[in-house]
Amino acid sequence: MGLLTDPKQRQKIILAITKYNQLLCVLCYVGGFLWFLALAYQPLNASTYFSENALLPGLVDYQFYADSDVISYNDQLTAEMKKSDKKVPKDWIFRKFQDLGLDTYYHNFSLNYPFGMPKDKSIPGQNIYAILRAKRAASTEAVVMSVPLRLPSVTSDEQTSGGIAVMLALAKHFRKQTYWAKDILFVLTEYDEIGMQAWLDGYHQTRSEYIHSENLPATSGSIQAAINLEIPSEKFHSYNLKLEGLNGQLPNLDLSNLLVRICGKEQAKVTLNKRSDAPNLDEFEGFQHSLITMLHMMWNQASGTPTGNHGLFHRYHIEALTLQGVKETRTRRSFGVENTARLVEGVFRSLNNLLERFHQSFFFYILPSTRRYVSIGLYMPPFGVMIAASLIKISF
Amino acid sequence: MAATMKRILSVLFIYTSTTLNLNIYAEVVDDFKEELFIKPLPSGHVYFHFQFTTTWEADFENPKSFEHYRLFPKSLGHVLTTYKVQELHLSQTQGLWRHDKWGYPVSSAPPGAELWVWFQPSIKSLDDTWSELVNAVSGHFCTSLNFLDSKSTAAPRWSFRPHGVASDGYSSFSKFVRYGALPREIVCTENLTPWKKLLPCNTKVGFGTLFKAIKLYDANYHSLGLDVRPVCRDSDCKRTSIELSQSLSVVFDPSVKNNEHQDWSLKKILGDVLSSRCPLASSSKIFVDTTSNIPKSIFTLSPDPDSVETITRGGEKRQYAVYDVGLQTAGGRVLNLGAKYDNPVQHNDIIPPPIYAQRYITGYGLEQGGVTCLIYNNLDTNLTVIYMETLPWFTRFYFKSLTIVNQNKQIHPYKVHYIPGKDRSRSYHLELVFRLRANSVTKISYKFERAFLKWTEYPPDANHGFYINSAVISTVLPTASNYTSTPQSSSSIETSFQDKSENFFLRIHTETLLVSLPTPDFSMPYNVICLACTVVAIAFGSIHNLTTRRFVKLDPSKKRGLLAKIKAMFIKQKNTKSDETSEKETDKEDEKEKDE
Repeated sequence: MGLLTDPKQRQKIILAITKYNQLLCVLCYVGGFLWFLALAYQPLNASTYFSENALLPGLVDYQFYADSDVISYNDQLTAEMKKSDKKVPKDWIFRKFQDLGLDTYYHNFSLNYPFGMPKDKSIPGQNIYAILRAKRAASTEAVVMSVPLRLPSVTSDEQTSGGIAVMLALAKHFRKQTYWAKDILFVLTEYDEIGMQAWLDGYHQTRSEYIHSENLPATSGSIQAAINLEIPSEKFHSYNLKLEGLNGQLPNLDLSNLLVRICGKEQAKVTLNKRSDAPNLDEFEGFQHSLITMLHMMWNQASGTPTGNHGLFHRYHIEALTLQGVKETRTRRSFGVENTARLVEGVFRSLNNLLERFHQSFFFYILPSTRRYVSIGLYMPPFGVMIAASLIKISF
Repeated sequence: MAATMKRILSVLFIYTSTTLNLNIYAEVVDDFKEELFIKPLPSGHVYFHFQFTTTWEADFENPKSFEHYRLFPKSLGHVLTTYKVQELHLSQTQGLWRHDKWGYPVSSAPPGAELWVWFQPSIKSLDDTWSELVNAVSGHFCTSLNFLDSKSTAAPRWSFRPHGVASDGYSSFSKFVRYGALPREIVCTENLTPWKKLLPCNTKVGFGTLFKAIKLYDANYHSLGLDVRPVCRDSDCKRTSIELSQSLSVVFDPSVKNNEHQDWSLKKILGDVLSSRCPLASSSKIFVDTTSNIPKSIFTLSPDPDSVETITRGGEKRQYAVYDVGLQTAGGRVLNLGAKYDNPVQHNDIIPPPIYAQRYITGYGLEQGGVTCLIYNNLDTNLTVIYMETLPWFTRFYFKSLTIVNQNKQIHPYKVHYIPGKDRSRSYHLELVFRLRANSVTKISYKFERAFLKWTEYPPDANHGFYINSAVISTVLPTASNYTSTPQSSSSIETSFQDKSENFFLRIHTETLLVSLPTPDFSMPYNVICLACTVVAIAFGSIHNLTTRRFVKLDPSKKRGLLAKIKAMFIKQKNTKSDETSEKETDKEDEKEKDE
């Protein structure tokens, strides 16, 4: 450690840095930047793995065979939605949940939109939520399945009514099972994220500045995880995973791995930001593809806005993500609501196994592809080198 | 001669022994009743409540009465006498009783295990006896009640008054009562077995034959109850008897797998039919609540009941179908009691009971939190309730944040009993007495701070969270709507048919809560040790060097080779010593010069 003790050596280093200051700064910055981009290259990042062994994804055999149920719910709901273009058939959905024997409730809220509206006027909204009480448990924990309610008049790739059919069919199936350790909350929110924030405010008794939410008529225990579904009622070709949340917060990597693994078991194509994995990851084209996927994810995080309803859960220490069904123009193998129902059943079976909250895997990561990840330990050093440029600049 | 002498002696011996035996048997007077109460609930569930009541004419004042046992279990009698217990109430429950859909149970129990005990006034060191008692009971019933130490035990002042006969002076002293609950306790077959063994007929004959663990533990709610208390021996109440009430409450949901039809039968739900009656029981009956059949018949029972009783309790009309098991199983017949429903279950017209509560955790983050309890009062009159909470020490309760709000108006409680907790030794105990307005919702809310535990205090599944006991709400209802509990005088269900009282004591347990505490990453101790050791190892050398370095003049012209340098390291020592001595001499000389 001569550096600490030898003044002559120290002097030499200081001289060197002051002499080549400009060059060093540029080198550090550019080098850090290129190193960061190089992290998307397959040999430089790591393959995903399950840290939470309790998840046991896909271990149990699927028991959801009622494809006819979900297809019939889907058809009925499509027919109901055709009746009115401006309204979501909330009463129909409410009655369906109630007939299944679940505790179903309406939740009212109002929004004081700050732009372009007088201060005393507010927009009313209404969420629907149903609680499936776990048979042998004491309602101490819960998992959430949510779907944003969208008007029938939206474009077909923004439609979410398939998700509602999946919820109804799964509620019917789940109610017969005795192995649930956590309550299952089915939440349907109006106005997308606003309704979701209102519901979360009511559940946790927090306050939002512009959303006024009334007390929830019934609650369950502490929520462990949430899956948001944006599945259209027509057939689609791939599942898009949306992870980015409010202020760039991400769910636990295990939850994303769980969905990727279960989609793999269903032989469904999974995409991140609507980009699937490149087949040749260790070649230059694969690297380019992964790099752009990684940059898309960082771009979404940098904007700070959540990419779906799931983004609002992260603040409450609830891991959540969105599963979106995406139609593609190229004809591929298509999936429908029955595949989604099987998939979601598998996810919930895994979530049911959890004894503890998600804590094992990473909370800070960026994904160049669905099966590779760059953890904070890998992307902090290039960032540190970039910051070192400014440190060198200001200290000498 | 000898033979006849022998014969006379043997006859005398037999005669005296039989008379003595008769005397002994004449002294033990106890009575055992077994009852099954079945109530179909409007939400599609069916509630089975097995009630086994043993009344034993023994007296706590008279220790001799505890020497001989007949129907009362001996092991329990030993526990009562050794630990000077006057009343013991133990419940072990799996699942949560849904008050808003199911009404009220015969006896309320929180999820997990709950034990509350009133000790006799003659007891000496109560806290030591309590810890010995919990260990004895935990071994007896295979539960982990030994975790009820001073950290989780409370002495409730108003919420848990003696349930049996007690003098005024005794019951006003809350120093004789101890209450503890373990929300995380699981009930399973290991708990059912020792509980079953206390029954006189065990599982050989009578209702015990219906206890199949595989069916009982697949239920929506399962509760084992054991209550021992002194009751009046007769209407004068000059002497008391000890009543042991064992109850098993189960709630099943037959409509789930049956296409929303609530059809149930003993064979389908419990797995077996009744083929015998306990011969030691003085009465063995089944009561089916057929009140929902009153305006229009919804279901039909088969076989037909032996009698139908219509009673009025607290202004509410009730109808019960009564089956005498002895009559139904006489002559080798079996009883497969069942009901058939005409229509599927209607889920949207369930009237909630007069009082029910809902409790949940509020706030987010790992530093602070809050608890809110909503109590719904659906009566047309105001009602005074006692609300009791026991919070563990690691959720530090802020008393000043406690607010009771009803329709945006603050309510001030009539009485408050608050014992603040102490870290790692005592839990927070709060009892409030306040009034609920008619037809309204009262909201009790308070805030707490989450403590950061020491790293050895975390359980193995630290990220699961920690449990908070359920709150207990006690009140006296003016109506018997949805009310199924038995009156004060006896735990036998048949006595509730003659109940002419107008006030009904009700106890409700709310949900238990799961709270996450700030949990470190448990790989951190390893990381910290590595880091600290690395820093010490690297920095120690240089810092030591810096602080103990002596600068020595070196002639730059004399360049030395490596060997010479190494030699110089060892020779340096000698040189410094000689330098020191020479320095000392020069110092001394300087001083001498100064002095001079």
